[in-house]
Amino acid sequence: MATTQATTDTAGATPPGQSGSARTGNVEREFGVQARSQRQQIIRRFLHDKVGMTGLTIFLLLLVFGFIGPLVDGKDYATQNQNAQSLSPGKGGYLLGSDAIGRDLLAGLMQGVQRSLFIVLLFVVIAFPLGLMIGALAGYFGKWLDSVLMRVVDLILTVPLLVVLIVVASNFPSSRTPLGVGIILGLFGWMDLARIVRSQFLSLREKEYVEAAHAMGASNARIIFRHLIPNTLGSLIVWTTLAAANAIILEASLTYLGFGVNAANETSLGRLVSEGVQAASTRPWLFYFPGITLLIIVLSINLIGDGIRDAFDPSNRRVRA
Amino acid sequence: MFFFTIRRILASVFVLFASSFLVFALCAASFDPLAKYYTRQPLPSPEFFENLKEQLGLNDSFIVRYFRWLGHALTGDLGNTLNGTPVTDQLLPRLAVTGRMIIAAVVIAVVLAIIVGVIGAVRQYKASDYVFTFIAYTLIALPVFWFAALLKEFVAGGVNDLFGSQVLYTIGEETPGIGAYGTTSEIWGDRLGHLVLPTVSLALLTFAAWSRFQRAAMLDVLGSDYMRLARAKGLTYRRTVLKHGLRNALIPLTTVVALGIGTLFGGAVITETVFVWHGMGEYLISSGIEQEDINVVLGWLLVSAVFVVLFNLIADILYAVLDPRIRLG
Repeated sequence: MATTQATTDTAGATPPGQSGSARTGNVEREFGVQARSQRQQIIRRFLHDKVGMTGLTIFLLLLVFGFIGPLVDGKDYATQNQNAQSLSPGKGGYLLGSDAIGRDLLAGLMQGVQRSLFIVLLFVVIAFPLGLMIGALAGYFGKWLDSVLMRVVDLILTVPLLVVLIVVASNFPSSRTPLGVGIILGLFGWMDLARIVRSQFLSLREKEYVEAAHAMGASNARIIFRHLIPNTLGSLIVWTTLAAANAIILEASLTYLGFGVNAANETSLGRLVSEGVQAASTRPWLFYFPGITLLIIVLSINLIGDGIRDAFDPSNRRVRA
Repeated sequence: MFFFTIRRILASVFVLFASSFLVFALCAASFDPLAKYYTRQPLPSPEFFENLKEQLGLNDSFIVRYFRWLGHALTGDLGNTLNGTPVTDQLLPRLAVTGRMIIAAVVIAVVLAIIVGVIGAVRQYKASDYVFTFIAYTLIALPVFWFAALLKEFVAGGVNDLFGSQVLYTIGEETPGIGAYGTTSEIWGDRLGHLVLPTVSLALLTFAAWSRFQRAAMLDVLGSDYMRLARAKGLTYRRTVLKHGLRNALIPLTTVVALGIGTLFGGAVITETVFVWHGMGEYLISSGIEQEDINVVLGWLLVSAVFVVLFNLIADILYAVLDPRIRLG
């Protein structure tokens, strides 16, 4: 096994996406210029990209806020304080105020960020392999399989995603937890990924290194996993970030319409925002803080996606006619 | 071109056919028309259920029910609601209400997207580009209902205070009952006032994504050789951008917009809920899903699928018309 791996690797079949990665990474070349692998270049470009780094920094801060904040803050969102109902921010030890039944908004936001990220993670874990698998099968094997799978995707797309989610969620009322909502989102959010992967595979499978791998006797599975998927990595990461941002908004919309997270003592950013909308004029803090948190989190993920896209695309169109 | 169009239309009909089957399967698996009787106290007799099943045709097989429904739907009969009124009669006025909002929103969004996209591309990496990019990303990151609530709270309040009268309305698509006493111009004036906020919120959020598209397409075009040629022939920069560049950069946007209109008919659900419009979205949620009324949901999904497929078709044909290089093979 070890030998076949070595031969296929050296047969010029290594995908350009990581050509001669770690091994040649630090070799001194002529003129004293350090050779950088493509992966290093991409990471470097990303680290130098202001937009992407801003997004990443904000996102990391939000992670700290959501996961370490509750430990520091020490309050529980589920605790209802009858003596502290609808306090405005800063009063009575409630930094961001409290809601109508005396729950701390700050604690709620922290929990909301946590749960929303959990939903997103679940969504990606389900939708990513589904989309990748279906797109890869359609793009790699082509012919009737491609037609069938893509027509199925087209068909599903004729029904608006939000409506499908509503119909499904209304049939499983017990699924209105972050877990359930994440699963539902994941099961219906892979179609665009499948299309992206397919279109990339269609062109990649005609490349010479794939032919070389075939000639060396590599199996289809090996070609897909070792050669083709690493080369679509850029699109895959970008899709993931954009879809993750989208999933947060979808969850919020679903919850607003009354089909999202709804279980007792469960919250999510979407739930906080949709509950806050009703209080826009009477208790503005319940309206603003969750909405702004949601905006920041979605924005930061989008910026990261943008940074990654730029990092993966060295041509980067800096041309002017 | 002619045969290409014919072939695409035939393919669309087939997709629509398959889509109607998918929709029917989804609804048949989701809704039980008898559900509301199961919780009745005391439980109705088994004969009652048998009768009802026979009456609603539930004893037939799935395929038979599907083709019966499809046959009726093709003649414009989408069945009755649980209350016994025809679904078609209710859908059409609501389609007009939603259509009004969507057409206005799309027109605004397209114009804005072109202007902002072109400026962003021509002045790439300048201050204006960054400002527009930031605005676009913020709008994309906002949930519709939150943004709409913001508009209702501040823009509507501010404008109405400014004029000292109710100019912008935050709820409904027209003042209730105005159809009975208003003249035609009064009715449409009133509707216009109601139209502004939903349209603005829908347009701003749609335009954001489209402007990014337009910017990317414009950047592609600006770097191409024929632009350099046009400049070399002595045309002014403005003229090359507007005459040669924009024309070609509009092609991708056309597709995106055409596809967007189709999905907007279904996607305006939230905007309608926020502004309490009695349009398609409200109909789906309050009359269809909450009442578990299968015919309403079926009819709604079918209409929505028709729009998606129709605009898909328009996009394909437009694409071929605008870019002759597209092979019509």
